[in-house]
Amino acid sequence: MQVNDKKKIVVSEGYLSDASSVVEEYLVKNLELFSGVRPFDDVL
Amino acid sequence: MIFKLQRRVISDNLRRLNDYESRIDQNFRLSAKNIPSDLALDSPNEAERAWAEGHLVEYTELTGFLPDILRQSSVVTLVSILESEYERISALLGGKLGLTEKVTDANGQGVVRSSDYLKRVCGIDLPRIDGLWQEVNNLIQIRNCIIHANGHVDRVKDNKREQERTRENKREQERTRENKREQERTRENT
Repeated sequence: MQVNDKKKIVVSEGYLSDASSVVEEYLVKNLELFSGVRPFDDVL
Repeated sequence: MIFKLQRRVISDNLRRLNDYESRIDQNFRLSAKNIPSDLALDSPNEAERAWAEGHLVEYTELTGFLPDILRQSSVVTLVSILESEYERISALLGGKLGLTEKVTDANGQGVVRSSDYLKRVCGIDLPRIDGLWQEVNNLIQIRNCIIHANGHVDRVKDNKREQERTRENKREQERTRENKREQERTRENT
């Protein structure tokens, strides 16, 4: 991710892959947290 | 079971998005590669020159403008997946608790709305996962900048200032109206 000389965001090649990994990790970690919270532990 | 299913849905959606972006990006590259490198931009023949200039424009779009739009769109879609999956999890938990209030009734939008619902309605205050939340929040800010200001960071700042000015003006107008109402009530009572 870069900001060019016109102060515009330029999404660099490969950014989506890195950002997807972050999103996946975040959602999965939240799911794992939910799974330890009663009464949700039996659902998840 | 639901945990595994939900995890699979998240992974599948993200993989599809990445595959889609890769394929389109690859098509842009191949199309650009097919454009001749020795374009006759200085040709005395007008038709040849026009043909070369057309291809130059196409090459510029295929190597700059179009990949930029594709990557920006992918970021927007990625955050959309994040928000919808987080909302789905919240709705699932609300349903398990038999709550009448839905996640869509909660305050705010996106991840903030789902978090508000989990905390206020479901009574779950999840710790914001260290580091990760900051990265996710940065991604959301980037998405907002793309959506609201076509990626121009300075315009987002201007928009925020403008919104704050508008809010302050509305508050001021409301205060003025309230003062007038108060004065009228005082006059009526005297």
